[in-house]
Amino acid sequence: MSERAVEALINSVPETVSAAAAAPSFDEAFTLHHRAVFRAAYALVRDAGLAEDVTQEVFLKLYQHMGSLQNEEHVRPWLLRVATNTALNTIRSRGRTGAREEEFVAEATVGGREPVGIETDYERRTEIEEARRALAQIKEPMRSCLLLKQQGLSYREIARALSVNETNVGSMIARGRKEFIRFYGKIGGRR
Amino acid sequence: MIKRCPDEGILQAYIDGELSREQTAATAAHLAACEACATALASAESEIAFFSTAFAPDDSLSVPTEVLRARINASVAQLETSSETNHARRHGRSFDSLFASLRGLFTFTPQSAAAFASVLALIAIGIIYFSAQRSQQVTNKPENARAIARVNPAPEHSPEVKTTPETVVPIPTSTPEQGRTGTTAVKVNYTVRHAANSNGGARRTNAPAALKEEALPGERDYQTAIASLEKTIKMGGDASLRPSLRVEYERNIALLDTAISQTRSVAARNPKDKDAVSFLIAAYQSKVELLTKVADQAQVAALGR
Repeated sequence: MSERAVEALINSVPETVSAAAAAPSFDEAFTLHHRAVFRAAYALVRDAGLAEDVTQEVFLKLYQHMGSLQNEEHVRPWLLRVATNTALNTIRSRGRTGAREEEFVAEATVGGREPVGIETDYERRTEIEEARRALAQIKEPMRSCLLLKQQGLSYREIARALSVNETNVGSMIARGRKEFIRFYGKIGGRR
Repeated sequence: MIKRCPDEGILQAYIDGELSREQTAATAAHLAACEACATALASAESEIAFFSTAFAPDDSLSVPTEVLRARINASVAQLETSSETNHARRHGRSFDSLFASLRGLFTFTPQSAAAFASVLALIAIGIIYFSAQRSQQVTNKPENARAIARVNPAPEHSPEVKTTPETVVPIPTSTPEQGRTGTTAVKVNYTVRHAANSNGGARRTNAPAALKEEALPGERDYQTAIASLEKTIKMGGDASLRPSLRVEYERNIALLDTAISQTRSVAARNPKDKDAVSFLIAAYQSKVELLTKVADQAQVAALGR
């Protein structure tokens, strides 16, 4: 999605009028939704630093558009949609994901939570690397569907975030998962 | 019961609990009767489990809430100040990068503030001493404001001279909307940058006839900046800074102001003394930086409320 498309998306903020659920304050919106935004961003960019960048950008956009979002119910879908698009743009602007796999893996493994033995560490590193390579080969929007589902988003949220038909989300997830298994098996010689 | 076998999308939605109640019941009934579909379901479930396991280390990443909050608050504060500054901007100059660099200069903790103040005080005393020595040898000549204004205020840590911040004279470049909170810090930076980077000569010409009190070149811009920052901090209210930080901030400012006023009198007596003048300019810069940091804190705290 181009920058212009993202802008159009932002400008097409739900034209809501219902006063049923008043718009939350910016601070409330952050408290309620930053986890979902960060996780959605992380699911797609697979990098904590980039996910922070995306989250910051998303909430900055929210801040600029708080006046347009008059209903609490619209805030989360809007955030997830902008987060997804921003994350996908980030991936594109950083070049092909595959080119960054090594970097991803290094970052993911360097900051391990607890000290592990060298062998365990090596195995885990290898597995993550292979999984990410397999992931990178899945076509969009299956890849994003799969990853956003993995982060606990509902089909409706995924459909809104990726601008796909909600009734197709299930099959996209299934196809994405099958592709993953296929690529992962090829890479790791498994299954 | 569904006659036709459900496709993979329906199975997936069934697993994910995304089907309607009727669809779920019908699919369950079909799965109970169709061995092929039951196998497909089991296969899908094991693949899902496998996928989840493959990314378990990644997905267990914790959400850095506080980091995100701080980053977002800072960027919102910056956005506020930038948008305000855009109004104040003339000559098409951007202060964004300057603002960002100022932000990075200080991590405002009581310790760093105290160290900062000590350094400034020491430098101030040194400058006062040397300037006093020199002033006994050098004859005062008529001030040449433009020449002095060209002195490069490079040093980062220097004491600060502060004159009457309340007597703000509108600068040619400033906007009418002086009092707004968000704006002030930005405007300040813009102004400061002008003072620091430009030769200052052209703008100085707008200044009223030089009074001894306020004639030093470049000084007025800093005073404006400082007054704006102080207003910003004041508008943040007492609650905007933690009490310990506020006490520290006020003590340091008082300390600086004392040293500064003494230094300034030396600089005013010897406007040809480049050391004194450049020190004075750098001192203003330092004070603006310190105030900017405090104002940022105040704004961030205000946003957090």
